[in-house]
Amino acid sequence: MKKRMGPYLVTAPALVFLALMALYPLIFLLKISFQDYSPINFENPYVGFDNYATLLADSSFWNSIKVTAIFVVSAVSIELVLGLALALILNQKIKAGKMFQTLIMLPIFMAPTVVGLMFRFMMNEQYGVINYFAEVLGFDRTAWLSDPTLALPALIITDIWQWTPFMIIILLAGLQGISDEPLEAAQIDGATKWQALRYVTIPMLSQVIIIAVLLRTIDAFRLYDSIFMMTQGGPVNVTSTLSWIVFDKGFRFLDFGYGAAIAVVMLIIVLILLTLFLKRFSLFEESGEK
Amino acid sequence: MGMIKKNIGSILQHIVIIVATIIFIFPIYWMVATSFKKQTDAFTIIPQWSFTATLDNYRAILFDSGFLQLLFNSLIVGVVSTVIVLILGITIAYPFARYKLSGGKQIITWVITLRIIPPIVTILPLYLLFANLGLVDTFLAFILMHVFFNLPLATLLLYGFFKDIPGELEESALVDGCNRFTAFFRVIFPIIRPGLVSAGLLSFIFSWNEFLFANILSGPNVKTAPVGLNEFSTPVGILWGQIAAAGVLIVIPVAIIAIIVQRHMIRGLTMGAVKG
Repeated sequence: MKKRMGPYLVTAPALVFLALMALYPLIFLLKISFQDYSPINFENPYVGFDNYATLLADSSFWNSIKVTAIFVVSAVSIELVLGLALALILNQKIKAGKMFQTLIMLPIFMAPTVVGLMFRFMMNEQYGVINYFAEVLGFDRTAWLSDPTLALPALIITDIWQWTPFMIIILLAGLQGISDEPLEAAQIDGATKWQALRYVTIPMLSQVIIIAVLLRTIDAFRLYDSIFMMTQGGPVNVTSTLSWIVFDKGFRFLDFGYGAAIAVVMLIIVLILLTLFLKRFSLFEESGEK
Repeated sequence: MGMIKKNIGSILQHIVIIVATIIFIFPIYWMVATSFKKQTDAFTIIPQWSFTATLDNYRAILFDSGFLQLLFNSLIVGVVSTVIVLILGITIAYPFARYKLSGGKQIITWVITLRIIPPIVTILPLYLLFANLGLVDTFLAFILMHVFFNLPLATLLLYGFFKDIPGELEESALVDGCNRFTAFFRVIFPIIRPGLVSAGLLSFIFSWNEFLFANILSGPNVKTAPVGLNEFSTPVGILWGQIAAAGVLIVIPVAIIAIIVQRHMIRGLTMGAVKG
């Protein structure tokens, strides 16, 4: 009995720390979401479900859900397709493949704030180098970030630039862990390259693909740094994601009660998506069996 | 015929990889180039591919704007939070990987799922708490937040490394007269050093690059480098040359570390995904 307590005692400080940092905020968040709460108020009266009612009627809230969904779905799916294609090529015999892999990996480690600012600079209408290339290719110069139709695509492009390398590295590691035999067998059976990819490689890689998509989705969902640096949620509200409006309502307008209500809804959405995802792919069960 | 087709395929693959690499490297090159340009060379309609390099931007940010202090603050927050993350990470990962503890799997799963909470959800109530305790704009608040958001990933990585160590190793050390404490430091610790390097470097880099918490917790006393980037966009105009120089100082040390210890970085990034 005594022997069994030791390990728990060792882990206790770390677990208590995590519990305090995770649970206290959640409880407090839930509490103030029922209050008219602001640090500059003398009192913060309880208002029942008022904040939630406001939220349901608030077009900027529904807009942020739309923006977040468009951003997450398009960025992550494009990153997956590009990442898989490039990982498949890097998995072939490529001259100096290691060097290319090293260079391609670099964007992952860059501060998203710096990336955001550099893309803002490169997308500038007058002196942005991306507009120079566009002009060389016969397109017009555009003010990407102040154009309501292009601002969100510009953020998506920036995200794709920074995080496709992450997909490549993970999928490449997955590919390198697959044995060649099933693929050779398929080729002997006369499968085309495409069929071999579709029916042999991708199914064998599915676990890795699922986790890579999960990790990217979690991060894309919380997009904030590049919005702060590139668009501040604008023009108007075309790049206002959920993270952005929580920040905007809470820390800019100091309406913490309302910000908290949005944050609670955001957390619920994340948890529902995660539960659905884990149910669909039963990640933890499979990995537990290994 | 088959030979030729194969060769064309291989050439195409090389071209795709070269083009992709150029696309992934170009913005980094452009930032470095801009940081060495004079204002007049940086803002031209047609890019200046060759220009006279100047250190003016670096001089301005290092000596006139106090950016050096911000880099130093980032370094302190990064190093201290990483050391704490590794210690706490070991204390969670090792016991649960080593012993069959009841509830172990649930606790590890819970720790990992903490990574899923969006940071803006955590910081809103914690900011109010820190404000009440007078902790906003202190190193303590930064370090607490950074330990909190890096600990789940580090725990996951270390758990994977500890799982790979056979339990007999520690037992034979115990037979040889070690106690559990010395057995850990003499036998287990050297084996998981690569795991500590992976977890530690990733944790440091994520702390170094972190912006959301830092932006909200920063004040006149404590501010980290990514937050300082804001200050170069003045009402008069945006000082792109200085931003590029500051960006280089933030990004290049990390890029150099990443290249030197590539193997550990890739292992750290992929382990959670590939090993499940």
